[in-house]
Amino acid sequence: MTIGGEEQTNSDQGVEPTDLKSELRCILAEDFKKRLTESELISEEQCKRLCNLLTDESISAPEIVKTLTGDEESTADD
Amino acid sequence: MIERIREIRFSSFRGLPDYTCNLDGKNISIFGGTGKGKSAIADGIEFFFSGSLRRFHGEGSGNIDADRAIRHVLKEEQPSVELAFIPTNESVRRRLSDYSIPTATHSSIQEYINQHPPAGAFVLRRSQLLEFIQDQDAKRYQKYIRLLGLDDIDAAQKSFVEAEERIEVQRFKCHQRLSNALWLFIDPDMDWIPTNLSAVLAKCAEVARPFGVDILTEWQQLDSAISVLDAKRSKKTKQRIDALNLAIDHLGVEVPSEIESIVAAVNQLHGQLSKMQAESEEAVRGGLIEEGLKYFQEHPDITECPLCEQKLEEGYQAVFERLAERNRALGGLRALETQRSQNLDALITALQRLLDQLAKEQEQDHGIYPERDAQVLVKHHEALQEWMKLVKSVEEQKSYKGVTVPPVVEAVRSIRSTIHDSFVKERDALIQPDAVALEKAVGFLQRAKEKEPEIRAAQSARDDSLKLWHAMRDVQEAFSRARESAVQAVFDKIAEKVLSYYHRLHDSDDANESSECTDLSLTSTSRAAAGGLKLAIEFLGKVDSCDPCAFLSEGHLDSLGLCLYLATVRMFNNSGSLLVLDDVLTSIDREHRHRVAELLLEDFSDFQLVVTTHDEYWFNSLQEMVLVRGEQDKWRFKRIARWTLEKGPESAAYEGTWDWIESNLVEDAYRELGGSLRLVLEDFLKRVADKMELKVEYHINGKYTAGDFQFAGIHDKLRERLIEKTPNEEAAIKIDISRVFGTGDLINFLSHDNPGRLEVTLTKTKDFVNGLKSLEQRCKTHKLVKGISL
Repeated sequence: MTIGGEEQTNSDQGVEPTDLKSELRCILAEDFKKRLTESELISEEQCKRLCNLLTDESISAPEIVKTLTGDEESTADD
Repeated sequence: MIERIREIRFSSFRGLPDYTCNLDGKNISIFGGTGKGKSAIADGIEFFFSGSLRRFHGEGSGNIDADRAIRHVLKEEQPSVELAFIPTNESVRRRLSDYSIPTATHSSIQEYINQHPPAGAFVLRRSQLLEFIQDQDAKRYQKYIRLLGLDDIDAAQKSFVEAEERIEVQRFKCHQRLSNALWLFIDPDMDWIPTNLSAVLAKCAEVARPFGVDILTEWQQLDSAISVLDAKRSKKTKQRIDALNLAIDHLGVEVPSEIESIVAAVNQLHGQLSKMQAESEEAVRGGLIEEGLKYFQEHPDITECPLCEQKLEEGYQAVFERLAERNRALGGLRALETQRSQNLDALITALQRLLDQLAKEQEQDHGIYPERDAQVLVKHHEALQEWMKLVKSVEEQKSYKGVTVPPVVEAVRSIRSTIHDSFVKERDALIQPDAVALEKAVGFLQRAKEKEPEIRAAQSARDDSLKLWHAMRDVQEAFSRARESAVQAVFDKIAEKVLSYYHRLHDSDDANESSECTDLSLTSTSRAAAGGLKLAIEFLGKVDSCDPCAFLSEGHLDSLGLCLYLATVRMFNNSGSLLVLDDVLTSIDREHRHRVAELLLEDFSDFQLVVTTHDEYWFNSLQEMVLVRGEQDKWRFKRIARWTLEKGPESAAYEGTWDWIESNLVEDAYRELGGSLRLVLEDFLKRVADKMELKVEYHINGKYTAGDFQFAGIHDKLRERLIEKTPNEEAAIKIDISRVFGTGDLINFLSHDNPGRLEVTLTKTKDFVNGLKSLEQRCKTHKLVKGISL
């Protein structure tokens, strides 16, 4: 399962959604996106790429750094 | 296709020598006194799914021989439990010797088996009711974290933290690089330390102004400023002074002083690590334990060791927890290894810096070096390159052998210092006393010109790295907060569900009786990353955030434990899976037990329930509730009358089910069927009479026998109605009617110790049974019978 990558399901008994695992990941992904959007230091593109990273099962520190620096390089200015 | 369990067959398993529990795909409630084998049924289910019984392992299990305890004491055969499924007609049998559940042929059955969590998450016993309440915060947190499967989220969190650390290191390096580039401009005489490029340019303007340079505010103006100053210098000496200045600047970059201290730290760490490995086999296995733990986390369903292929005798949970404990104990070792690795990285970085510097000097300055010194430095450079290879191999091989600083490091330091001092001396001698200020200004501007690109790049990298570091902190903080808030949101939902179940069991209009627990919370503690989940309740609306054990009565504690368990099952387990409740209602008072039945019928109707109890009141209560809700077709009710070592559990003689009758319709047993046959016949006649609105003589005690209905002419009415519905089956209908109503005192003969009993043959009894079953089927088809039989 990937973070934010699963659909929430409902049981057929009319009780509350039982797939808490997916629900947790959806809440996390949404909240993460919201917080990134609020940051003045994260561009829209970086935000999008970081959110996409969460759905990638092989999320790693180098990937995160690359996601951030990739954008930084293009805007680097003295 | 949704599979359900049709039968559970036990063979030589604990108190069940050869026993079949027939569920027919329905829920089952089993009633029986203490020691009648009810729990062995729950044991069998646990054994099938986990290969062992949790209570025989771990803390408090003493020296129980688990294999022996699972076997029937009189049987030599291998114990086994077999589940037979419906609608797919396949069964899966697990023997004690099976390391895992044998693979089912049909994918739907395999899917059914796979969808079940570890047995502890769907088999609840009375003794475990309080586990969730009394658990330590950390243990409770771990349980839920496992249920939520947060491994990927934890891994992501770790990656974000690691990314922040990487960027922090990068930021530090950039800062260091800028400091190093600016270091050459420090002038102790001026009491001035530059912090950026603008400061250097400002200083250039300041030192050049006395020599006629009025404007120097842009770097592009630096060349013309140098020309103005250069024109005032002595033509005879300036070229040599420039060369010396450049070499002096280069030689001013010292051999990294930290080399010796880093090597000392590495050797100390190597000593500690070697000692730990020598003294502890556990330390040698450190890597294996870490890998094993990772494997267990990724494979929660394994039942055998992936290395030795032996069965996990203690069960997954116990082995997992022991591995985690061993891994925690190796934390010291891991911390030392990390320190060692960081120190070796720092050593390699310092060495590389030195090698680069020497290469640069070789290329730019060796022309003015004394020839012998230049040759020695080239050789030293080569020797340092060799040492670099050695250090790298130590790091890569993860060997703990000692590292020695070669004498060449000190030799390089010494020879460069000597050359530096001699060059300074030579340069100072070349400068006339009245030209000192001018030469100093020229030197400063030339140095600025040479270093400007380097400083600009370092400054830009420093700014970028700082910006990146702040952004990374925002990202890391965003993920960490989002994780905390998502996990807490889920815990809030679980707490809400638990409280709603608790209220459903305890809320009452009676002012004298109220829910002791008026609010409930599950809160991640501040140590959530390390693991802590606090369970707190509000007691009678008076005491907030308290430990349930401190205020709730024994009964309410049990009740809360049951609610916690059921809420967790409801929210995490899959629809259609099993839920086994083994005599869990003992501690809950009688007034509230029917509420548990309500809860199960309403909220767990999509599960297949196996409920055992020794409380006949509750058993009857559940049965009545099922009947009035019209859900008889979803339930079976089984009474265990006795248990013997040789035969295991035996159903009550008065059990009025067709299964019981059919299983006893054999020569040796049919004469004992009187009571059961009477029950099924009377049950059938009552429901037919009700549907056909047959007038029967009123009995004030409400008890009616088959004779009462026959006296009212039920057989005539039934025959007429059935023939009316299917005239072409008249002959068969008459045979059925005569076999049921024309057998004289068959039931009476079989029910009592009567000489006539011997005259009732097996054939005659079979005809009666088949006739009654046929009539019941005909009545169902034509809607001439109310409800559905047991």
